Amino acid sequence: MTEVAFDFLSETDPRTLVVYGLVSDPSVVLQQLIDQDSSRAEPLSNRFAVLPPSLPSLRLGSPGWIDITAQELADAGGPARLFALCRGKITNRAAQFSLLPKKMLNLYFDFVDAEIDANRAQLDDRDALFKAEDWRLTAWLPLPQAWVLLPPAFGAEATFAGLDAVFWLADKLIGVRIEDGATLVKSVRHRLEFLEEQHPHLSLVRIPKSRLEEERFPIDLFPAEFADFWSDVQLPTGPFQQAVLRQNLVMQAG
Amino acid sequence: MSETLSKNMKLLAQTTLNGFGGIGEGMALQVTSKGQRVMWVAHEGPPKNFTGVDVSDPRNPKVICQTELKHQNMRSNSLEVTGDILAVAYQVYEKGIDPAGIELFDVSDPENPKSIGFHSTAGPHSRGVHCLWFVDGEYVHCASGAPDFEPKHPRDDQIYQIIDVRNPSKMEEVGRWWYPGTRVGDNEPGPPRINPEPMENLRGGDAYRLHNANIYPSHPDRAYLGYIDGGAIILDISDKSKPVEISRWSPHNPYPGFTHTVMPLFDRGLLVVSDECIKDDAEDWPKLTWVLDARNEQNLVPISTLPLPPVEEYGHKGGRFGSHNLHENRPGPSFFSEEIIVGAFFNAGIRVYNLKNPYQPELIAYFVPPGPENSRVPAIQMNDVYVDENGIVYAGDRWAGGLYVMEMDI
Repeated sequence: MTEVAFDFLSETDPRTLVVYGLVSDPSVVLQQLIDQDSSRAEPLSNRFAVLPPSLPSLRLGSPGWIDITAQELADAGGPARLFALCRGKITNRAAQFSLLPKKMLNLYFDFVDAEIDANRAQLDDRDALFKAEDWRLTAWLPLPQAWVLLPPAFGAEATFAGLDAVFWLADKLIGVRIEDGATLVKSVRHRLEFLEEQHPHLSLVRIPKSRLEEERFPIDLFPAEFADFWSDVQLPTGPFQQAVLRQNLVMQAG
Repeated sequence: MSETLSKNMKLLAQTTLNGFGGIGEGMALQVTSKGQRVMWVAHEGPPKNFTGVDVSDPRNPKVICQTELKHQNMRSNSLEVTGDILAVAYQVYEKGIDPAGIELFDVSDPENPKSIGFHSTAGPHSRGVHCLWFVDGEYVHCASGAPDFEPKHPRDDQIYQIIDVRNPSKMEEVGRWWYPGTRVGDNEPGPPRINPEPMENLRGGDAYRLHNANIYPSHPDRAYLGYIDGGAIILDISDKSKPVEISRWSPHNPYPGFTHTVMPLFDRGLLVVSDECIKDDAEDWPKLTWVLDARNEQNLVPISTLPLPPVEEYGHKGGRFGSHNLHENRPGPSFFSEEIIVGAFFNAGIRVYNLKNPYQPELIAYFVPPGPENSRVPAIQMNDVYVDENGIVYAGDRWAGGLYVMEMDI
């Protein structure tokens, strides 16, 4: 039995563990975290995010999530390539048979592009060093195929509630669930209900499948601040930061 | 087998249907305008035609209707309900006899079904309809012989037919497709026989004919065919009068044939394909349920099979052991999932799989009751399964056990 090592309901150390990406059994990742000393876990890795309420928003430019080869890094010059690289890396973390989540992610990245285009003049003038395209890296980081660890109050055994994606906006956990008409089995329904009722920072966005068929990101279903991902960031940063710079940059990005 | 084997499933009720507990391959749930819930079941063979069971209280199913076949040389193996219309398939045991085809009933008063139309597919080379699909209220898709269809091989007789039933009193065929080379007059050579059997045995395997056709209102331009030894076939039926083959996939040979159901999981780009076990005592082992990557529908790729219990444990318990019908995600008061797959596996009972990771399907629940009294074989023979929108599982024994009502705890 895997220990429930994170408790988003804790009064002293409320942290939410989100395991994400190409993970078939999130408890394996949890056990790896426990084995490595969960109290010292980085807030963001390529398989999980540990989210205390004080953590700044997670953005494409947040360090820790991306795996990159030297060649990819060398080829990633220029904002267009860098954004495309981030987009490809994120969408590939939804399994190949998760066609609707992949579609949602692609619509999301199209939305980011469109938002930057719509505010191009303002963004071009904002800082002499950066062009509008650079600000795409301030977009919220989607954590696809997400498993949120439920707290001990749910049960002694580690149990996760599955979502199609989550975003972390400062102190708000936005969970995305694509409603595809599936009949929820009891265990899945119970976990989702618990998460929605008990998580103090969760905002659950339900996207009907039909909305994805409109080929537009359903921004109207998200909290109002979701569309405004760039205005309170001082400088856009890429996700390939040296460890010594991370803390400052993450704080800056928040 | 003397005791129930189960995991995460429990029996709520069982009814042997007034002593006629042999259930075929037709199970469909009707919810009437008054909220009454009726499970309609087809019978494996004569003398009964179909039975309606009130399952409004799934713990207390009650037979409210049971009808008779016209004679003993026919069976109504398959049925479907859409709204208050019940469609029943009639197959005869010898070619050329009547009645063979499709009958529609108005079941708005479930205790008194009224025939509202009959479409004959009888003919000198036809034994009528084995299986039908009717979920949109407009078209019946079926495996049937036809008056004008003469197969090269006598068991290649039941082809894919699309029947317009919008006017029940004047149903008409609007489209058909058959495996190339199987009709007398086809230029192509007949397909190679997988496991040749004597030609006089009409019920045998060794056939290139249709079993199930699955067509979903969400994708009305596609038909998914289980074409027995012809494997899984996808047709473009955007023009119903001219179905066009898109792709086919067959594991036969080396596998032993009899593709039964091809169920698409549209939002995942997957197909679940079952091969029916047709011989007792594991004589045709293994009869598998395959998972296919269908993201490119023109290039179907098998990626896994649903795990079955060991053949040494089940192969000789009695009767058949292996895959058969699946819960088919049909519209209506029906369980819908592209991750949870429920199937009937004859003496291995009802088995429930989690397909979240389609490369490694996981068995998450099963229910294997003891062999029922008066059965021809000592083990259960789960023949068909239907799961309602509340997750209640209805399953039928092929010979005597009748209807089993179960609850999943998953």
